[in-house]
Amino acid sequence: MSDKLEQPVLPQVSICGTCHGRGGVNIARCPTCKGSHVWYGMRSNLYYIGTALTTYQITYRKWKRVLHGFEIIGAVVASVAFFGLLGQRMYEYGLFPLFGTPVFWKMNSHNTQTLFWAGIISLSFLLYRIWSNSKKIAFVETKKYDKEEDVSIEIIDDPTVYKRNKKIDITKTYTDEVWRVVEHGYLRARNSGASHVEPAHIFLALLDLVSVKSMFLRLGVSPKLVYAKIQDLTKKENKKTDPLLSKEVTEVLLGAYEYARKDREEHVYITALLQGVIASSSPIREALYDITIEEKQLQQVIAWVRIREQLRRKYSAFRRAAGHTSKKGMDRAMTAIATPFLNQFSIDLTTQAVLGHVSPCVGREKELDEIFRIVESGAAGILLVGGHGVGKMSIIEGMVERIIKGDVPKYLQEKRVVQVSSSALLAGTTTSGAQERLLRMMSEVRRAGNIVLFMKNIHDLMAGAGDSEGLDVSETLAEYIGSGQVMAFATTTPQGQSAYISNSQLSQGMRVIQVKEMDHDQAIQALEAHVGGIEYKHNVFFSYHALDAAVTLSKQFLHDIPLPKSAISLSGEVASAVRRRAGNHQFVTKEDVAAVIHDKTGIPITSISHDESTALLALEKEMHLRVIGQDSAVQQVANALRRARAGVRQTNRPIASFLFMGPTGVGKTELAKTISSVYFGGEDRMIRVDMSEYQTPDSVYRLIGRPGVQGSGLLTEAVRKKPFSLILLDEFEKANPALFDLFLQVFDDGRLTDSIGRVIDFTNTIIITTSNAGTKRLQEHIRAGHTMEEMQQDMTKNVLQEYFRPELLNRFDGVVLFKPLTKKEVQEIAVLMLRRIEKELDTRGIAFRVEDTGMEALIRDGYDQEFGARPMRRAIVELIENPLATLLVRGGLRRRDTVVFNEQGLRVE
Amino acid sequence: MFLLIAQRLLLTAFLDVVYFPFWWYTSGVVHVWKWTLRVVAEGNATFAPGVWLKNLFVPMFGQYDFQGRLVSFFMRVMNVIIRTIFLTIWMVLAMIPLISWFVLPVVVSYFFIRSITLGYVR
Repeated sequence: MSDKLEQPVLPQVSICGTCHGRGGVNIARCPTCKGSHVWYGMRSNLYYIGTALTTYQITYRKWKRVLHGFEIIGAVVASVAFFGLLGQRMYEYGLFPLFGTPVFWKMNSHNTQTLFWAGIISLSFLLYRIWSNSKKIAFVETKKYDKEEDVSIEIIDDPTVYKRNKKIDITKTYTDEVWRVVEHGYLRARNSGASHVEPAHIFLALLDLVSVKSMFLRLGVSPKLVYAKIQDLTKKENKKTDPLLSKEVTEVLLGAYEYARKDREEHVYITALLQGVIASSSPIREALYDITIEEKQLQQVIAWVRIREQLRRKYSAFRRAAGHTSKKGMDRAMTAIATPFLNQFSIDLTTQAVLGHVSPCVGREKELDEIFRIVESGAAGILLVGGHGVGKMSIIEGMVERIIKGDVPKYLQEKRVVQVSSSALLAGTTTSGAQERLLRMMSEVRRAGNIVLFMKNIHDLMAGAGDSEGLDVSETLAEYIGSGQVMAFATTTPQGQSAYISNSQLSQGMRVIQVKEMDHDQAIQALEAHVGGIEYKHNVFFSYHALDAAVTLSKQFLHDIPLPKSAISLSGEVASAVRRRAGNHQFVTKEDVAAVIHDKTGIPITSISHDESTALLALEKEMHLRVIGQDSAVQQVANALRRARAGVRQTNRPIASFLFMGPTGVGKTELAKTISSVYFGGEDRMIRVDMSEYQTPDSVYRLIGRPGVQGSGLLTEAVRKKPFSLILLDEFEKANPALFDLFLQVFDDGRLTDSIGRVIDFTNTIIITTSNAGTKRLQEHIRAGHTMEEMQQDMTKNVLQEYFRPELLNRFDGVVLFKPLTKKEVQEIAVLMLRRIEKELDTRGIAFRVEDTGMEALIRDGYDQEFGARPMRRAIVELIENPLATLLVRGGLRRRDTVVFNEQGLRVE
Repeated sequence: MFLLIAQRLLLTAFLDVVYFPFWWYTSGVVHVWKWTLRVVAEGNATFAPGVWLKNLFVPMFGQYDFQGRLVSFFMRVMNVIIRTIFLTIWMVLAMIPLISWFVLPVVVSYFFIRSITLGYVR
């Protein structure tokens, strides 16, 4: 663990030498620092703690709050009493008819007038107390988007030399809650007799808050445990005087301001204080690390709380702004024209947003800024390019929200964003009809003048795209956009762009913004922004680890949809599954996420959660249940798999890649099948490609697809659908050498681009190539009685070089030599094969036994050192299975019979 | 120390009461003034005569022909006038609390003292 954070946010603070940061000497103001206490200089400002932290001050402030509370209660009581008494007297003496007439005001009947005015005075006093108590919290300076900041720290010895407007009292930006925590932490230190207030004291005070407790619950750790752990960090002393602020605590108090500023918060909230505490104190980080809370996780959970709060505040600001936006598509100056025709074929996104039907847009400020920059430069068309689900629509929705709030360049102000519905456009008409509709719509848009057109998946409306029957909007659009008459936004996928748009007229009129898939951290934050809605809908609570698992696992196993959409929809499914299983108010854990992934993909949970250490350790044993002999091959493979599961492999390569070499029938394919079922949970997760079928150079296209034709690559499609699988490339040496170059890239980068430009991910595959190359040489070695090492040496150094280029051989994780089977091993294989027959007969109620003489007969007929286990297979077929089949067909076997095999053949008992 | 705090609290309580009239004509005025401004701004956003004035010569509903422009112009003039009237009424209404704020203490003190001097009437 690093001692400080990657980005140093905490400032370097100076402490007043006279008051030691307490701000006062006894109860008077410190004469040296004049109340600056603790400070740092940055951005040519002086930031200081302007509120004194002494027991006297804190106690006074605490009681002052109580006093003010009493004052308000007193004013309320007095108002109620005066007006109540007034009502009572007026009722009692029948004065109500007189109220409001001059007679009433001329006399003070039963003191009613005095009571009335006294009531008014009490009410005014109440107003005074409430208003003067609600002190405005100062704002944290806003960070500029465009300018690089000067973050150099200025060391200042004398804080009094700064002018008033350059001095920022950061305590004024603290919310009330933050203040209470700080004071509480101080008193905690004093009550425990500590000589210094440490970050741990502040941390313990923070832990009293429900919001902070819930952060730890989300991390799956009991707040009580955290409390106990941090409590251990605080020293018990017996000092009776006021504690001093430790240097770390001053860093916390001042640093909280920098955190708030960095995250563009309006004030210093609890989250910023907590970030400061974590960053300043390495003992706290270590203590949390001991109870499995990593700093990064905690930061993400803090960000979660912060994002939620920011969304809530943003939402209320948005609602206020939305009140002035027309729901009928008219601008305020009424220059726009009603667009009845367009309305038939479109959805008004602005109205949708005003009605509250858009989801939050998080982490896309960069793209939004780019859009606004392009709009300001005068371009009339913007094309967002990105895969399905990367969040293009979310960016458009974010833009609509900003338009409503008025926080956009002038050209976009008061504009309506209208989405053209391609299905409505094409419904019930021919291509030319749709073209005509489009023209009419465009002319309406042009005349209306307040419309920004939006087309989702614009490639669907281009010539040659599958479902639009030849409709091509590109020319019409290009005509209107090119001349600047209509502003249009559109989205498309990279494939759509390369296939339909890049060579159309449209590409000249539209500026492209690439929308990239979010990385892990961004995706978690986007998920954090959305998960509130999911939690509310399904009445469950997500742990942080569940979110993390949702992002990690959907990245790994749900390849078709990118982040964050995959993770968001996965979380929705998990929430609903958890509620169906266990009812409301459940905690969603990462195991729940793994279970849903298992249901969706069929991949065993143990493989997903990487938890089954016992199975990992016993890999060899498990493999030997099916593969006889080949100890070194099994050992090599098991080691590679263990490396993969323990997570110490390079993640941008396949899990493992092997070249299995050896004569026929020694168990190469069997070992591949075994790996598939041990690691991936079933033999059906094996993609088998017979490379002997790919002997011509153009057979590349059978593997990766014909150019421009979607889904025509045998290998790429199979891996795209099942990214978590074993690829068996049988008889690799027989393929055309041109194909080897293709695999170079797969072995090295774990990726392959198919014929339509999609990148297929191979990083979750195990690739096994088998080869019979050099079998003859191997047999010569065996006859000569050479050792395995000698054979391996010769094969890799001399024989394989004839078939494969050295760079290909180098890329395999292991070249595994399968040695010919010994007689004993073939016998063991025979036993395995016979077991299968025994099992088959058992289902019919028939027993099966092989006597020793029978086994000898099998070995005699079925052992051939050169051909491995295949002759044994044949021998079993000829000697046992064929006669057995005849017996069964003839009806010569009944239940409870026993079939015995010995040297004479089959016999029924 | 607790004695000191109690003393200071007493003083605070006393000052809180004494400060009331001063507050009324200082911070209180600022408060009400800001509130009035907010209300006026809200009214301006709702009636928006400025937007109509700015677009005085821009035809409404995209009617760019001569008749359209002519009708639009008069329509806009009418709108500007009516909206300004409404906004003025709105502003006057918004000013009432502000003016009352200034007058209230005087009125209240006068009537309160007078009611006491009037004496108890059965």
